[in-house]
Amino acid sequence: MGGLRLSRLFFNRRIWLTAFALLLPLPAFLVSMNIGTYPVSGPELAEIIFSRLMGHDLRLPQVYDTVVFNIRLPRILLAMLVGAALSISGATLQGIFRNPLVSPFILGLSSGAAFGAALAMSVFPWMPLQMGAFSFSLLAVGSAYLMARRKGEVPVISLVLAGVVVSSVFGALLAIIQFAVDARSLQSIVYWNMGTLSTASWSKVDLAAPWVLVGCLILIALRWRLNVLALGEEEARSVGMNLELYKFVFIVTATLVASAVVSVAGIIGLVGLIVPHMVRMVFGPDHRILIPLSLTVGASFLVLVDDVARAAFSFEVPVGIITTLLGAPVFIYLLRATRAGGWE
Amino acid sequence: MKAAEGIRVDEVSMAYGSSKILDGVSLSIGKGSVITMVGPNGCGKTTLLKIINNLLKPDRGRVFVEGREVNSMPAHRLARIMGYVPQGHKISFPFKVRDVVITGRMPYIPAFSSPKREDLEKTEQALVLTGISGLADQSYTQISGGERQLVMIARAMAQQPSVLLLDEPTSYLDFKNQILTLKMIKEISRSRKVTVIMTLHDPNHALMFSDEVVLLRKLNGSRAGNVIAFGPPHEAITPKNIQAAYGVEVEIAEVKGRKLLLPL
Repeated sequence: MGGLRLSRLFFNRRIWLTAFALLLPLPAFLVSMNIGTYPVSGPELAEIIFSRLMGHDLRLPQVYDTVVFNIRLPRILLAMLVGAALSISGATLQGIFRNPLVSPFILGLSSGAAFGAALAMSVFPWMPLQMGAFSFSLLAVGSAYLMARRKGEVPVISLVLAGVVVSSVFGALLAIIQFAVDARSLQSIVYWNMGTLSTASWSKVDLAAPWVLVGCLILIALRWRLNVLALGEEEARSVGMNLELYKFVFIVTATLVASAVVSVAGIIGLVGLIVPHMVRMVFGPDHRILIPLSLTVGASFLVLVDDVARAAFSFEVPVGIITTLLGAPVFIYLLRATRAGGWE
Repeated sequence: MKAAEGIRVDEVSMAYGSSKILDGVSLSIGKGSVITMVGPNGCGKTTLLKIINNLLKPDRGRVFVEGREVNSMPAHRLARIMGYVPQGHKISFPFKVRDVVITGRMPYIPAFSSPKREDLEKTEQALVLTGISGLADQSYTQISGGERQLVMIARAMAQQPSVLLLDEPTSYLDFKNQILTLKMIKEISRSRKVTVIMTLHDPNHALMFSDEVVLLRKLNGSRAGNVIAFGPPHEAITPKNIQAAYGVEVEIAEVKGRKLLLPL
């Protein structure tokens, strides 16, 4: 009996697929380490890390140590953090809004971040760029949330509309700065808005990682509650859910996670939209599976796309451009396949 | 005062803006009975149902279930006592039927937890009770309206409630499914000792399936009081009361010992 069950487990395609998606970041990591001017294979990587840890002399040229520790490792880890954060944030917000076309930027997060970054770059040079982007993205989402709030309730449809308004206001404020600054500042503002990982560093990884790790743990722990929420607000309340509390917790967590990575990598579009959707198409809408797999697939997806961004052409393309070009056709397909996005 | 009182609605009034929907409604509902609320559109029957489930807060008045006021209970406590089946439910994501039904276990599952074996067992029982075990692995978005109604009833029963509230359970169903659903609701009430309160469009259904009927009228201006009649179906649904509620003339016919409402 046990043997039969085991063999059934062994031949179950779905279980293999799930395991594959869960473990995908590992091969994605190894492949990405091997791409670049100095390819580093698995055994070489092990040797380089081992020699660092043990204080051995490296048998490879010293440049490999520099490439791995100062360039490639921070970049790959940052790409994985950003991909994981945007995807898990998107999956969460899609569940709350009960709509597969929602992205982490629906409540004005990206517009707020762009304005904050521009402010730090050109108007207040004393303000760290990441701090400007982070605080203004939170300000944007916070004001959208408060605008939508009436009598202690935050209806989803009001949230969407408030998000649109907040996005346009911060878009206009950004335009004022862009209009006023000199050409060089303008260039860096535009470049930041494209989203890039080419400026990756350990300090950026350190800035974003704690938020992403804590946020992902909270979302994973609460993920079944998203199933309850995704059935509708009245339906959730009638089974005893403290609806406004959970909506608040989910929105705050999803926002912190996404804001943390946007503030270090700029606005990398459509990852948070298409990754959860791809996972949902293969594994179904159950958030118990969707949330953890969005994390692992998102991390793998962005690190692989970033490989293309840094190695496919003779010059480096901002990764945000590639994700958007890849994501746009998927988005159009979804729009058509789900009949105007499934708004009620 | 009844021996086993399940629910007491005490002087409940409610207005949306300046238009009064409910005015001084009081009801006392015995445990284990099937109560139907009928009346014209806008008479406030759905509003009253939501007030009983604490989904809406009344402007005045109170609702007690098993001796406790509903809006003083923590949400998950109330959800262990009352199940609610909304009208014509739709969802955007193709959840499996089983995953929808298991959300009824919400009041028993701690915050940072997911359904466990016991919740799965209760879910399977609710699927069997409503006769939809065969649909468990199908997608909620691909089953018929009648089947969706059963899924939402199963979800409410997974809460193991002693009170089941249903908002127009027959409104999107064809003739056959209307009868089947109402029969099943009555059977569940009898076998599980569950108090059922449902709103219905058709007074004939109320005549056929309820122990007691609440007949409501629309409040027009200053006329005080919604409840025209509250009592056994044959006493509540009379030509005079129907005329007062709907403004329609009817007569009662008797076919094989059963009463039937016929419009004139």
